[in-house]
Amino acid sequence: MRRWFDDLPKYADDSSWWPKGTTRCRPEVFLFWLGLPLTIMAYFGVSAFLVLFKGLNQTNMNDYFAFGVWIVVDLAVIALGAGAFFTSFLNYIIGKTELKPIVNAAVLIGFICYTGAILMLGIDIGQPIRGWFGFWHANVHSMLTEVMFCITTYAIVLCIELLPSVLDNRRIGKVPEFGTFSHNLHTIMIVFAAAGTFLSFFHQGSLGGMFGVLYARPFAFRGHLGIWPMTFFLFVMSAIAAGPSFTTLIVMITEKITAKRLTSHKVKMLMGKISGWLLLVYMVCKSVDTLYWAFIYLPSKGLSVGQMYQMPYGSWLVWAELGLFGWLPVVMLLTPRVRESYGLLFLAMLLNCIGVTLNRFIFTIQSLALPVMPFEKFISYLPTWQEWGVASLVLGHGLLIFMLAYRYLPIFPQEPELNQR
Amino acid sequence: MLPFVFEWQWDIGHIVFFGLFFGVVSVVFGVLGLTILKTILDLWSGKIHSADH
Amino acid sequence: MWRKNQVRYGMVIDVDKCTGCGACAVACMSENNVGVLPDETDKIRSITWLRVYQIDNGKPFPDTEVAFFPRPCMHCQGGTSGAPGQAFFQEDTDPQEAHTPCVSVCPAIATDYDDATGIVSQIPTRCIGCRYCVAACPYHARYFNWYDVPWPQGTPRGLSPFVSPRMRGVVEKCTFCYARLQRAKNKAFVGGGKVGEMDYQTACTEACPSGAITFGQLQNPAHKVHKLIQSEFAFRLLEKLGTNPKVYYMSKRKWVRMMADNHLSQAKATQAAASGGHK
Repeated sequence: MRRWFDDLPKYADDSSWWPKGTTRCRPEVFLFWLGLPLTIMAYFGVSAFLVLFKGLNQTNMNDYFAFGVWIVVDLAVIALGAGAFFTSFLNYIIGKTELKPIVNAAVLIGFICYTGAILMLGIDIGQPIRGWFGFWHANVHSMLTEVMFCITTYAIVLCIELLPSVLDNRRIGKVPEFGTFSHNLHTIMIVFAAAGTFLSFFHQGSLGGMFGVLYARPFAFRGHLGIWPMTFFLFVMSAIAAGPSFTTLIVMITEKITAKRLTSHKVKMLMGKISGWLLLVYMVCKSVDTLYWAFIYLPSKGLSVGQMYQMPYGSWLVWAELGLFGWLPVVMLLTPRVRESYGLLFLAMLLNCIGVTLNRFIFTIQSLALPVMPFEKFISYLPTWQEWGVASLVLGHGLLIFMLAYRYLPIFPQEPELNQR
Repeated sequence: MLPFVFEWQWDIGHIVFFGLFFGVVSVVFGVLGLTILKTILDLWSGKIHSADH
Repeated sequence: MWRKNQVRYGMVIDVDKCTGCGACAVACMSENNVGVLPDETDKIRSITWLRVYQIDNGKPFPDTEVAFFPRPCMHCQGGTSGAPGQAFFQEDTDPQEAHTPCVSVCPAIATDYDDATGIVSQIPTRCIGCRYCVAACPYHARYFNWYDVPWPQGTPRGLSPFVSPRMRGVVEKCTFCYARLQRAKNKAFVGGGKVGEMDYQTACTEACPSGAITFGQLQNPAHKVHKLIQSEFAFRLLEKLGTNPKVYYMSKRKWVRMMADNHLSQAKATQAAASGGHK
């Protein structure tokens, strides 16, 4: 049956750009759905313009809440984007090549997370044009300096790791220069994976170190191992536990939206198992650390645990972070029956990712809400719409890049064989 | 950041931090540069990889 | 105790003499070109390098007692704990190890601990506005410029020419009126001689009508503050944290001294007593 749009000129036929052996929706439908990330980006654009033009008074941050939702989102997406370096590490360096079908997706997600975080940070600082001072006049003792150096360098490494996927596009790859370059990159990828692992270990840790060194903030401060506070190691552990989960979650959501199978369930189960074991190690360390902090460190500063939890940041946060979003996903991910079920695996991974996000939120927002001087007030904070707009950058540009990458790049090597009719 | 900037000090903190940083940066860009070179050499010698070959 | 041949500028504030009038805060704003914001009712973004806190003992009438803590920047030093009962800590012998909470975290060295005077400096033209130092300071002594100060027409002529005003997006804080020290040093250089105790005094010290604030060199036996800090009634805010601040307080009232720090046995009582009012 001929429909009205069948008579329209077929000006848009991009099927020669699709990965080999795959089918994609009509370009017009794709363009329509691109409207979603573009709308989010427009919201971001308006908010960013206001913040840069009028100043940070457009936010609800203040001298008590020096950090707000942007830092929470930054920390969370960088932790969730850890799947990129860890999956690459396992695949290229440890040699777990069963992860090959998902490593490209992990790198793509990492690229989205890191570029989003960097762009948001550029708006977060009061003097964005002076951002390079952190490099030029670096204070080598500051954790934030370490973070700045490693994140920007790692973002460059991620671009290099993503480059072969772009060059392997069906039509781009036909150009001999690009095809050869891509082939050579593939052979040497282990070096970039190693550099990425090294850089990521340090910046994931330093992001935790940023809070752990604040010895004047008893909520956040932790004892040190060498020059690194315990939060350094806890943040690395939670990031590598949540990273594979987040990658797999995004793949599963994409599968549901596109009604295709993109990786075999075995690969997902393996990612779940890796997440589960790493999360177990993390939860053991985190639980010990929390007990020590609550019952030995705090009393030595004259504080009790009860004082650290006031509504709305009440003690429910402890049970949520350690219980519902901590030990529960550990048990779930380590149970083979759960991993075999698509729905339960999704749920377990979702709980895992929420737990890490909650942990980042607690360290940022709750630390700042709590007064240290006994006559100071407890403060709470809610972001303004401009803040949400800038925070939505990661979602908007993430959707945009992911949609384009999924449509045109061979991100999922197993897709053709899994979707044969 | 660089030894001629006035805040640079040849102390252990600077040596370790910048030693590691420039080490990694040189490895990454060095290998990238070598890969580009190898690609150029491959193309000259006819060892072409592309979607058609 | 202190490293030899080093000067350590510090302050002693007698809480029993402080009436909470706020003259010190006003003098500070005037001396240091601190701006008045578009909306000064928003106290949480107000810039007050010296802020006067009001505290009370938490008891109902007629036993209520009120006191005031003027709080400038503490110019913390960090360091290792001294012996029990000592009012101050041992200084580390290595000048690189001054572990001021805000200095150690600044990514661009926009704030630095001056080993020659013990003063923590702030360089507004270097600051990138990341606010990590604001988060690190337990005394809330650091203020971020959320707005560009809307200096009304004509007011720039009334500004002090010795202190540069700050634009939005940078952090600022009390500097113990460092410009005054520079002028005192210049005067001493030109006229011969040294910077005497009264040659360099902060604006807040000079403005206090009841003489509650004393400023000088903590390590110099010839200066008033040196004797005052040895008093049994001298204390500092948040001693347990180990920040090793240079601003000391004095009070003969025990409840005031207890309010300066967190005490586990009084955890609940302290929470009730905090009236939370700011001036």
